[in-house]
Amino acid sequence: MSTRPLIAVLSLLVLLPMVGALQGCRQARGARDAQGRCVPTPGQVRLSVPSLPNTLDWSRSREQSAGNYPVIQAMMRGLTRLEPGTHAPVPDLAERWEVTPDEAGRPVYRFHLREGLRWSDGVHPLRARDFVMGWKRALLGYEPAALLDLEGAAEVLAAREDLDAPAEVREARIVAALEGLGVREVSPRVLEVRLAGPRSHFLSRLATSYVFYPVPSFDLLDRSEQEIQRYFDEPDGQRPHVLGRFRVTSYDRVAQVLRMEANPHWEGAPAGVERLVLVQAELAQLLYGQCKLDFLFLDDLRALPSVPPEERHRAELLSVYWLGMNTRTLSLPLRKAIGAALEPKALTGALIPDVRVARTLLPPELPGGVAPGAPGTEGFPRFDPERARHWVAQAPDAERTLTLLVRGGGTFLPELSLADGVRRQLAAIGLRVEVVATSSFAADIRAPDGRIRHDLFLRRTGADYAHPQTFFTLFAPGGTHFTEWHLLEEGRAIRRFQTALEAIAEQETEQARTLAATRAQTMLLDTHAVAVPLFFPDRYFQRRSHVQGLSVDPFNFLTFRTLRLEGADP
Amino acid sequence: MNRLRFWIGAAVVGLLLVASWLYEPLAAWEALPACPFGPDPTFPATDTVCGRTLVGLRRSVAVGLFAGAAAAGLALFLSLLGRWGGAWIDGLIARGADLAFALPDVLILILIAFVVGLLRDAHPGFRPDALLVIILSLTVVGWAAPTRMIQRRLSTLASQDFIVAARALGASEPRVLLRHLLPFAWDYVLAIFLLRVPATILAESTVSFLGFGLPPREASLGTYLGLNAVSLLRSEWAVMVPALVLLFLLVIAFQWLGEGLLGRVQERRT
Amino acid sequence: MSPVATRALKGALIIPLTALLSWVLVAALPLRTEGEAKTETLRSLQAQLEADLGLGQPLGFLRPWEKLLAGERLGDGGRSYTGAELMRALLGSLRIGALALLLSLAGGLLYAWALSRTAGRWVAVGLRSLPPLIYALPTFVVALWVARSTGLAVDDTEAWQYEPIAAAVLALGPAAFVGAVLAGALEEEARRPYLLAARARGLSREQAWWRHALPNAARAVLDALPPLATSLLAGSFVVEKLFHLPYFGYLYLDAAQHRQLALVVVATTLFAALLVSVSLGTDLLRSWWDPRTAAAEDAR
Repeated sequence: MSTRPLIAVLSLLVLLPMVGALQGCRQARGARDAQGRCVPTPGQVRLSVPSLPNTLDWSRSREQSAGNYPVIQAMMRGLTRLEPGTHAPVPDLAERWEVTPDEAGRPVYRFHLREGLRWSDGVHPLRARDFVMGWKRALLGYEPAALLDLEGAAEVLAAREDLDAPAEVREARIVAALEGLGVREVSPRVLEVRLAGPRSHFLSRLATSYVFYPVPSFDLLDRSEQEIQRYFDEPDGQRPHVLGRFRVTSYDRVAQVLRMEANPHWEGAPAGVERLVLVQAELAQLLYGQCKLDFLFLDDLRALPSVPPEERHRAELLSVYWLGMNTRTLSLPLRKAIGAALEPKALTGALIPDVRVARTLLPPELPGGVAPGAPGTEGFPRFDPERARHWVAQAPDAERTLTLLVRGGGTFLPELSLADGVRRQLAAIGLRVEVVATSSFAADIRAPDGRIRHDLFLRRTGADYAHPQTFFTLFAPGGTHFTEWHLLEEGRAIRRFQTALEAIAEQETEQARTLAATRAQTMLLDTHAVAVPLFFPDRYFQRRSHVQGLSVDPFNFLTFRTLRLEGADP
Repeated sequence: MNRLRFWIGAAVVGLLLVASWLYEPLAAWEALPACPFGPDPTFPATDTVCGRTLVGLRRSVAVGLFAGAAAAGLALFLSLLGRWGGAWIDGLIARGADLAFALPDVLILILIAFVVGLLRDAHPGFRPDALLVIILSLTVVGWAAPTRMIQRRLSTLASQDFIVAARALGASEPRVLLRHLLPFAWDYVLAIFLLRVPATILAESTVSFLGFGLPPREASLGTYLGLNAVSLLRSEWAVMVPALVLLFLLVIAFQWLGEGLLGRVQERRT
Repeated sequence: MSPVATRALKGALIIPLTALLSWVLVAALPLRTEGEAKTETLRSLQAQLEADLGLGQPLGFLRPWEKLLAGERLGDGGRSYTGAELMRALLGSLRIGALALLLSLAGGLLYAWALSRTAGRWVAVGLRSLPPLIYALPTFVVALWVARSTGLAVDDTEAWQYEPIAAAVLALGPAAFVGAVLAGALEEEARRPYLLAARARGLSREQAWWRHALPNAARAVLDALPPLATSLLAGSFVVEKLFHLPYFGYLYLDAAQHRQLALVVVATTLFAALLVSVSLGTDLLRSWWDPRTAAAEDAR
């Protein structure tokens, strides 16, 4: 037997992956032109996102759903949309609306749908009943709280929560309560919505909360609930029908790839984008370097210097990063001392470029927000070591070692380093802090008895809609503020806060809303010293220059609204 | 040759350990030049690459030594138990070891980390030391191979004349095991322990790299490499290369240490 | 019953055992659903999630399987998979594992052959010191280094191109292991009288090596085959993650990281089943290659 052939075969086998690697190396350089720039694939944009949707069923979406928004908002639209810059709600699916108080003084909205709007099958027009069906389904879904502004929604929720009732009784109660929900079709193009009370944030909410989006009821009526869920979650190229700019053609959950194509019946300009490919990749930067991606988030701030300036972009978010204080374990003087000891600029300086330091809880550019130093904000926390030491001297509990809970990863902020900075700044006024990193923040912050067991924590809170309410929900009764401040003064403090929130909801004018919101902020930041705002985070991203208008909205979601490819007809 | 390898391995391990222990006191001394590799990317304000890698090295070594010792100790205990308990128990332990050997280490380590995570979520008071958890889980995966090796060694020893003679003279079984058998198996067990160390260090670094091991603040070399993997892709050599070199040196040195000793044991036997 | 059948039966027992054990573990823990939401989770939602996992129900541990068979999705939302998708992912990992096994055997054989042909002393010393050096390199380091130059797959359409590279990275350590074991066994064989006799009868050195020494020395490798194969399957976790190959390891790490209980239970059980079958397959291969040793081991 000659051994040569065998050795040859073996060598070939071992060489095979090398050939593959060479092929990979060739690919690694990607499709480039003579100047070494990536050659775009016509009509296609490939992006890396931190997470893909957990459902495409916008009425039944889950709360932990950061990945849902960009996709659903590319597919769908609401009655209103927010005007860029001012964040004021303007008509979208509704061309106009009027508000009239009912006999009890509660607002009743009549939305007139725009004419000529058709679902992506090109046949069926949008009708008011599409909203009725969507909102009723949403109330039985995972985010019913968002619909509590509607009259009768509280009754549906109460029936849902009555787990002790026999199943049939509970079902019947839910069905009966849904009948009384304050939304109905007046005519195919007129939708009537009755609210439970004055809600100045309602129109803003319609723009961004997808539970308020309509559903293609003509396609869903004959389906069971399980079939409806499958209708949304297993897109087949045609369905689910949409009203937005793109529809989903396939969603491969194993490969974590979601593909979209332009909605052929979208009334706006196509702007040259025919296909979107969304992938979730951990080493996205490498893929971008390979010309395999056109967009990625720059969540690792260390990467910023190596990104060419013309491809580096920054989005200012309606979002605040803050230090929460446990009001049960920390005395008021100590909380005030902590507020005066922190210098956000120094905390973030080396880590985050051009940081926007926060002196208020609400971002100033949010409708209802207030500029730092404006009347009413005098008592808000600001760096003053003298005062901090003065407060420490009065605090009976300054000798304790405090624990500071922080996320160990998974956010776009360098939280561990920030926590370490807080520890050092508090050490400067003689406070001892132990930083505790966690991978499951919400679970770790509570003791088995349900009480908050850490003294301090770092948290980012983002707006879901452009209104103070979105930040204050957190600190209202039932909110996940984790500060135990609902126990202060036997609950009187938080009840006063609730009253203050109702006052914001009742204000008709922007100016009056700002005043009311400033009063509410004062309760949190000054009177009870519950939180210390640190900074308003920005989101950095990188995109190829031919991909224009692809951006991150103030709610921290990727938005395709203004996306267009270079060279496309304007 | 074996002797040389043993001593080279011992010297490198010793040197690395001394460096990692001396780092902190020396770093506090201001006359010393700053770390040539720059600040640590995760904690730029407080840590340097030098500090993180050298302290990470210490944690890797601690994990390797403790988990290796625990695995070898458990293996020795089980082997002795099998000898003492008779063929049936010995067989049972052997089958158990075979089974455990068939399950991949990484999978079991991830599963343990998953369950510990669930327990932590469910009982917030349950806050086990991460180092202890990883050492224990590495013991759980690491006992099987040493057990089979020690079992074989003991059974070879037991058939030798002096053991048969001891039994014939009326020595009790525990006495035979502990006074006659064990002293001869001792250096072999030590060699197996030393060989277990690099394997353990590698396994720990892999799971930590995947994010299931030590937390960022208490990083081992594996955690550190996992946290900064991206910098290698960005060609920021100073961040990754020191840790890579240290890990490589550490594993090689422990291997030489173990193999050198094992070689000498085998030389002596022949 | 034949010894192989007995072993198959014993191995198969592990599968339901894993399923039951992993579910009991999960069921013993209270479910926490509070996430990043601004308001607290509703009681009815909590109850719904528990029912979905089969918690607190008699025979609840069958619930994930029931869903799987009904073609429903297991797990939460975007990280939820149907049975068919799970099998597709499993097949991908199996492909990488099998290719890596093939590569490590081929690589090891080449190494042993090269070593046996080496005349120069220093070349031999160099070759001999290769396996321990390779062994000291963790797979993830090699994978990172390779991914630096070859890049990685952006989506499912590209994944197949990176499978051989991933398999080669994965096979590097095991190839060094196989090579070292084989070379050691060959050296031992070379000293045996029968080989000298064969050479005396006129067989060339090459012929003696291939026909006599190698088949005997290969036994040592065959003994190590089952753990080698299973460790390759588990090792694919690392390369799948680094080359962004959407197969089982990738899915499993993700499920464990995001605490997807039902998914981890089902995936662990499926993986255990795969391990048992692979280990059984290699066992069968061994008894076919070398009936005597296998029989002797069964008798023990």
